[in-house]
Amino acid sequence: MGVPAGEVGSTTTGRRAGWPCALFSAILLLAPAVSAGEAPLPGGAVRNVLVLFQDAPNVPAIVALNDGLRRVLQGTDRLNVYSEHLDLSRFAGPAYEDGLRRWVHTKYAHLDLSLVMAVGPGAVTFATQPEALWPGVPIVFCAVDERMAASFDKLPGVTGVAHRYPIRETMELALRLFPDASAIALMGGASEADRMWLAPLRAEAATLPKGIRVVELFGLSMPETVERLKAIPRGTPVLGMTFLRDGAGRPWTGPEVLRAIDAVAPGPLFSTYDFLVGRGGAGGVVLEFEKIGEEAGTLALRVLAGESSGAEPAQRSRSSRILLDWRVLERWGVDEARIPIGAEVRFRTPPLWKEHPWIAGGVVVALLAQGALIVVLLLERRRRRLAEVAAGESRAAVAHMNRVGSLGELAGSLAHEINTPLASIQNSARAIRRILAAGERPPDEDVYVNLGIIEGEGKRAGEVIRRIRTVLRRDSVQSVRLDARDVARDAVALVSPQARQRGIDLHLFTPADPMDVDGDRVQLLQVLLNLLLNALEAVAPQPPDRKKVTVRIVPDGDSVRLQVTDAGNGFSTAARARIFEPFFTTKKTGLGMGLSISRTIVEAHGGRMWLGDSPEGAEVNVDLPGAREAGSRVAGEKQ
Amino acid sequence: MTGTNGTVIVVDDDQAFRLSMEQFLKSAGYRSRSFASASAFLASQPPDGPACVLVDLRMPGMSGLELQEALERAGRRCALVFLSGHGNVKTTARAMRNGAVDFIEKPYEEESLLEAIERALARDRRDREMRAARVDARSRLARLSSAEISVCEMLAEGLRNKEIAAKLGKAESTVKMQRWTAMSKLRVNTPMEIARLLDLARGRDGAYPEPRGP
Repeated sequence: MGVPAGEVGSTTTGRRAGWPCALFSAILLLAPAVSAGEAPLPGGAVRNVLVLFQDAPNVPAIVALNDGLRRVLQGTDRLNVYSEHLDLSRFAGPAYEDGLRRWVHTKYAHLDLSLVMAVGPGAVTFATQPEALWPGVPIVFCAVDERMAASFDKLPGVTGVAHRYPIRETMELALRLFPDASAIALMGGASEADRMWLAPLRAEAATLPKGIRVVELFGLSMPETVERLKAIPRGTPVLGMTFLRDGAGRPWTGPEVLRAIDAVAPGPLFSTYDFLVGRGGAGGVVLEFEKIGEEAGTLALRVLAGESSGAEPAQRSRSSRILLDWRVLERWGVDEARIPIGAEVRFRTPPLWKEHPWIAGGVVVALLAQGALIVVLLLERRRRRLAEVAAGESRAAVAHMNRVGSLGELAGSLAHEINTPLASIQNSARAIRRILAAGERPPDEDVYVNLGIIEGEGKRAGEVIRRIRTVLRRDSVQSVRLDARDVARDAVALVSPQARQRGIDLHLFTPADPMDVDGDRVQLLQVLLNLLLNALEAVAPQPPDRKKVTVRIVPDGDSVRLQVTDAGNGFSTAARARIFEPFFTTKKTGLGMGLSISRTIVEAHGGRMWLGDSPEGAEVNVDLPGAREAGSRVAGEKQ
Repeated sequence: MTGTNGTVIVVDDDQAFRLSMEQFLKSAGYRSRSFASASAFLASQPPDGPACVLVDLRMPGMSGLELQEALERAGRRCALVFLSGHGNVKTTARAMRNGAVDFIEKPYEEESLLEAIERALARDRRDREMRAARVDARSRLARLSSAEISVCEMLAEGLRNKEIAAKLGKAESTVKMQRWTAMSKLRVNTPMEIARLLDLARGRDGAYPEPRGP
């Protein structure tokens, strides 16, 4: 809450305290310009008009009023309009006002002023008391409350636009929106300007219907105000004008007050100040200072044209309207039907069917049709998903069988790979026992050699078992960031005992940098195992110089290539065409699922599996998309 | 110390296994030597005293079974004990058929290993003795003339002097004379002993192949 521009301020203290709060009143209304400048100015002479603003140019109400005023006055090119902002609310006192009066008088002494406009009661007083600054020059005022305006009517050559705060109308609006309310709360601060509102509010409240109880919350500290508000039954609207300072002397602004009472208020806060709308206030019947400016401008033109003597009583501004915040009303469960016709309701999207019933109807029909289609599609999708899950499960089962099969092929060499370290552990443990039994003091240093063997070989056997478990794992597929080199190392480690036993040279070439891909470790390991087992089988019957299998991990642009080559007999043309088909095999034993499963896995990883054109032997390539960061790093290094 | 006098040779590609086996053998009172591959072992000098070989079945390059065959071809009789991390009936049978002392799966009982080592060493000792006897037999047979050898061969077949004389177209007295000189040279007293010497020298006891070369 705050004091608007030009409001009655009988004391300078009240005005000073009020203006900073008025800074919040930033709502500028784009009301259509009233017909202005209709009164023709006589003669061809250019007329000078001085506008004296009581307050600084940045006060929102002043800005709004000035907009309206300028729009009217600038409608004619035979007016020079000068402005002075007296800033009397902030800089008060006889010394300041005297000096200012002299200075303004001096400044405009050489100008032949045709009219002085006074915006705000302080500006009227400034121009007329103790004596007229510009005797004989008519004065048109605005932003003056009608009670104050009555006192100006006595002054010669002074007329203007007076306004009245629509307090009564706001009360009636509040009770209309809350028909079940049995009371209305009047709320205000403790400063002089705040207390000034008590009498008019009380007077207006007295004329309300008999059943409405009036609760006055004036001059209390904020905690007291909060406590008192809690005691009021819910559904009671609150009316407030200004709350500049509470009973404990603490200064407040309107939005702050709204926040403080938000949780305890028995109803929304109504006010005649439009700037509280959008800041938590419900709204009310509010003044529009832009329209007041237009009204005052029109009156000024009439005075200049000689249509008005300037001595007639101030006219009553009709520039009020109903402004409401729908969000607040909705929160308090206000029936929309109770909002008066012509009210401006903000923050509300009117229901479409009210504004465009035919479009709304069409949309409803379209939505229903779409809904039906969506339901059908969802059912269809569900059916397909179930089928996919079933297929996925059987695919996972086949993949698992394939991995178990791979291990089966490796079983002998893997058993060897585990049993050898176990035998070593036994040897060393037995050696230690015998050494200790021999009773040498200190024990033979061979004890430590053997302990080292036990430790190292235990770890080695564990590592083999870990790899086997990886292959046998039946977890759901999970994509993680992994280094393709690690996968290749595991795969090579798993088949190398067999390769060694068969006298096959198995080599793994990896780049020095991590080859990150996103994928499922088990599945990628499975792909490499399949390729390696095929390769080992292909070279096994070959003479020693062709018993070679090579695995290479190479960066290829943004992807990572896993390449398995062997020096076997390669694929026949017929085999090349069908090599990835399920149940196609060139082996005597084997289901022919290995490559088919491998390709499915690779493609599920967004990769590609293809046969290279190796002149002799076979070359199978797996291109996997590199993990994003790693991919760019690899690309960067290639440059 | 359990071990009797003897050297145990370990042929295994697994370094940790070789080391641990050496440690165990040492603690059990055996001398040991180890080789990382069958070919390295083949290239080495055979030990002087009684020895046995613990050989891994699966090795890169030459496997345990291939080593066994290579030794056979080279006429180098060794008491082989096969150790395997994963054997099967087929390979076991083949190894045993070719004269392996034992076939032990890793991991193994301490006593099984020690017992196999002892048996292997015992056989090597016996083999060495037989080998020495054969050398002796051959050196003794070398002193005989070809006529005396012919008489001895027939004696070993159980023929009498008269039958030999008839077969050879010689006088019985001549046969008698040659028989006496041969038995003196061979330092034997009965035709049975002659037969054993000949068998020893020719490797007909089934354990000795005919040596190649002189």
